[in-house]
Amino acid sequence: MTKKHLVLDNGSYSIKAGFSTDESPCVVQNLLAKAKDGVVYIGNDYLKHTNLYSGINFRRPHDQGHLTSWETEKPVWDYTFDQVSPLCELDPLDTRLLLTEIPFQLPRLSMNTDLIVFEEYGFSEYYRCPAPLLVPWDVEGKPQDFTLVIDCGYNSIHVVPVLYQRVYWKGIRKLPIGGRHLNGLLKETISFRHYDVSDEPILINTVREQTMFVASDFEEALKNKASAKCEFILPDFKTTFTGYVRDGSTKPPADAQSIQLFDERFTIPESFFKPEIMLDHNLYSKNPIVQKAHFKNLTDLVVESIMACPDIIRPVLLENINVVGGTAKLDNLTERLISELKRELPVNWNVKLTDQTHDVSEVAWYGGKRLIEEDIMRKLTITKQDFFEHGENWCQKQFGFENF
Amino acid sequence: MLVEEIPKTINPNSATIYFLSLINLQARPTQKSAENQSEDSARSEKNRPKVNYNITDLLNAQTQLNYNSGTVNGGTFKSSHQMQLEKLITKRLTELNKESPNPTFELPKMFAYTSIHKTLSAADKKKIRHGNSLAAKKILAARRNFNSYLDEEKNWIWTNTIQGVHFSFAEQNWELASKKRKNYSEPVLKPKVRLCSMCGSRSPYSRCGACGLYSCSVRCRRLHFELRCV
Ligand SMILES: [Zn+2]
Ligand SMILES: [Zn+2]
Repeated sequence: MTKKHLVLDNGSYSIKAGFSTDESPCVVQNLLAKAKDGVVYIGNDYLKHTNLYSGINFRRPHDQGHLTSWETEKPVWDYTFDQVSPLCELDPLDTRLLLTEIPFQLPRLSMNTDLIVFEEYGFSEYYRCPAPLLVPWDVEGKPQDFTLVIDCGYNSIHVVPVLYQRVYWKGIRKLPIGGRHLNGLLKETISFRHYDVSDEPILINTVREQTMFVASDFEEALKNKASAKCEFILPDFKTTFTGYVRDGSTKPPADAQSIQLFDERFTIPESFFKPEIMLDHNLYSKNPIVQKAHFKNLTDLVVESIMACPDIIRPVLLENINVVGGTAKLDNLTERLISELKRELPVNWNVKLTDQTHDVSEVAWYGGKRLIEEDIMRKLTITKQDFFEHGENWCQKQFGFENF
Repeated sequence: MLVEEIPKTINPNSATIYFLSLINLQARPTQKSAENQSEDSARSEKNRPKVNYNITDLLNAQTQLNYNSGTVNGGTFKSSHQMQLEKLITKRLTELNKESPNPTFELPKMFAYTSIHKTLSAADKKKIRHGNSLAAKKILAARRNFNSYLDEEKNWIWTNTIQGVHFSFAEQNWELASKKRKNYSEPVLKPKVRLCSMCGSRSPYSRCGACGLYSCSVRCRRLHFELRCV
């Protein structure tokens, strides 16, 4: 009997799932959506109801990046399992599951996950790991021995050294700022400069994806902010449901409403390099503790992560930098980070970005697929029998993180 | 190299020697094909300059160094100042986190995903909604957020590690370290950027005494007092 393998990269923004034999993963938004009509939609189902976009609410299973609410996650997984097996090929009893989580997930919550995997779904075998561990595997042949993964997610950015296919826990650094915080600051800025958009999450996300970029030189960009001008046509729910950036060629309808964006396009994402833009330009700025505080930026944290690794492998790590995750799609983020690292580090160190063969938000899924093709998986998994025999701590003991 | 080759628990007596192909490459820069050679064939060649390292020892030594230099917060000591800062950061990030006005809306009583493969009875639906086993039922019914789980956690080593990683970007002890910066593990303290609270331009002035925000010009300063200041 040959077992099937299901790879499920359980991102806090979207799930990437599919059998290891699939060409590409199914991408499912990891949320429940409640629209004006009172109906609760699962995963991607709300997307086709374009007339309900305004005033929609999202409920997500992850809280601060940790998988917390199974009341929310279970319907999304049920939905996802149907999406990956339209012909009902998924039989958990005969399937090995490869599941990802964030590094340093609260063990109690990981143990809840283990229990749902075995007791509720009944998967026969299971391996759980932080998503960055799978990134080095997304290559032809064997993975590199030393890989630096910078996983830019919806909730945060993790810098994770992977040495000999293992997470080097002591080298992990985290910037708790992700795509959703950019949305939050954008919402504040538009609400202050234009009008209240607090119940327009889809609009905000669209504006971020279509207009934001990281400046190559923030000082220069700020001096020339007029040149960053861009006009975003707002949805009228007749000709456009999401809104779009106006370009020279098309003429929007005469009654179209729009907002003009300038410095917010690059000042908000600059928060990755100057966290004080997010944390010390607000109501809390009158507090002396916030005024005196200094924040390490993404570059500082990458340097720290590398310096926490044994010194002889530091230059090797730097030659294999992998920037992945949905937020890594932010225009010019990777290039700016690499150029800052080159400035920070010794000139004779070769700071090198590794090009990804797949979409940066799907690298972990493809890595998981490769790991299974290499037949490593069966040496890593825990079986349902083991789980019931050894108790609920068993998986955490095998898969869990190392404390500092 | 297989996953199993690195021992999970670090054993100080471990005699495993790991081999760094890069070191070997640097010693013989002329041989281009070395990159493609398997480790075994590289190892078997006796007359090559070789450097062998015991990675386990190196990892242990580095961990000790990290503790000593304070780049890793062991969680043993945290000033009240630092704790207040972490609270304020959490508050601010929670504000920015809010994606839609009601992120915790109630689910209908019998809410469950209806499979495309089978039609479900009411009893089936109930099972899907509420879980099969007693333990699963408990997890599915738990209406708790992350902070509630974190507060309940009794294993402080875990919570210290998790929170230590989360807030290490805002640890204040590095201010001291950066003044006498000796190596790259201690980042330089850069002055914080000041942006006008009205127009977003660079501000050359100091903070507003009342609210701590910045303005860039006489005009923006007046607008700030009218519209933005407390
Ligand atoms: Zn101004
Ligand atoms: Zn003021």
